[in-house]
Amino acid sequence: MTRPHDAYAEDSPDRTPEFFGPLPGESPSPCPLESDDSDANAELMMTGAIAEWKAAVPRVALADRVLSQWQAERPRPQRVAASTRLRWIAWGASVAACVAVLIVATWPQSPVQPGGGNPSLAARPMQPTPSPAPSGVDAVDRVSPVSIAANESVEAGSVTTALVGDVRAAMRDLTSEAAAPVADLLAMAWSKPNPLPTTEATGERRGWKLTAPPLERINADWKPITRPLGAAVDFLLDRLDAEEHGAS
Amino acid sequence: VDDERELVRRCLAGDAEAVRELIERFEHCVFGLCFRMLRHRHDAEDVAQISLLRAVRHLGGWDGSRPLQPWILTIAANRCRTHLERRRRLPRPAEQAFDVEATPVPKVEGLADVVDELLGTLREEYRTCFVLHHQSELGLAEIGEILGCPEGTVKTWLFRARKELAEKLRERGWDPLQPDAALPRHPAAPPDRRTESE
Repeated sequence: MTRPHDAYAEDSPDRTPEFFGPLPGESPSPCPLESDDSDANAELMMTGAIAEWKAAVPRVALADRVLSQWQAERPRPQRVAASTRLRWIAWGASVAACVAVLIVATWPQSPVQPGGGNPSLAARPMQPTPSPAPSGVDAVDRVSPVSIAANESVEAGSVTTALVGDVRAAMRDLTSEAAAPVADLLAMAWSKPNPLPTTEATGERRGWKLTAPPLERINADWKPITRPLGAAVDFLLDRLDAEEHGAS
Repeated sequence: VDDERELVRRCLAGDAEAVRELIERFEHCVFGLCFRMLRHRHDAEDVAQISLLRAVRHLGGWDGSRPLQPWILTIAANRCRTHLERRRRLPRPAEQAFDVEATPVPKVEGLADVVDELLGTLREEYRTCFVLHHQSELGLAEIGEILGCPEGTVKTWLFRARKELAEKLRERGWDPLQPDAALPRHPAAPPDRRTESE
């Protein structure tokens, strides 16, 4: 191991030999400085003085004190860890209990169990719920008569029954009579090309094709598609009125 | 360094015997540094104990590629400087107005005591450099790291410390040719210039 003094001697080319002389532990030079006797005396003086001064440090025994202090501190993290673990367990249990109470309180009304149970959840008669009806025009025929009948008997009564019948009849007529013109109209609108010829843009947007026709030309050349739709809606309303008057 | 690394590894694993071995290995140099910097035995024991305890506590932060002794001595030197600063700020009651610098050396018995007493008259930077270099055998670069100053500054301070100390010793009339002669603590006579006249 390189002692600091050796390193100091190596990296100090400008070390002042007139004063520093030999390092501690080294023997003084027999002729340390020939030109200045006072510096030579100082060198001799310091060599002996530092050696004696350095050796005069009393010896102490600190190991027991430091070790006991270290051991007194050391178990603390374990105790802290244990108490922290207990605290986490307690917190976890309380949170779980709160979650359980919330779940029970917000649970949907469940059927009464045969052996008894929560009175607040009991004593509710079961009501038949209609199965989800498929959507669309064909869905009217697919609705189960059983579920419709159950619905009619339980919830709305005669008014609801009449309304459902009217809607069903109107939908049948619409599918048979009005759906075809509407479909033809839509097919014509989607398949018809743009009647306006493309025109070259002028001005700032040179080089771009103008795809948007002027408004007046749209009104002049395109057929409004609202007319057959309006006829279909009118037809449906008329049928509803006729059914209503017939029923009354 | 490998031996120190292994020792530190055992200490970090919680081996009490390894901690004891570590303390016993470095307690003398740590106490020597504290004793020379604080110049008060009880204070030096307290600060050395705190420094060693801190070193053991923070062994995980030691860079294993470097020697362990300078690292521990750096902790001790910083604790000593903190203690000196605190001591300087402490108000001293009139009835307890003792000379802290002179307290650990109640009477001069030999050259070591004279050197220690004269060291107390030097500037703190000079004294710290002198103690770290000659008592703790730290290099200039390590002293510079501890004191937060360049290596050249440390070299200059060390040179001036030795120079002033030699001059004060000469003023005390210490004869290097008779190193065993006892020195008066406060010499009434002028410094012995016999060696110079020769």
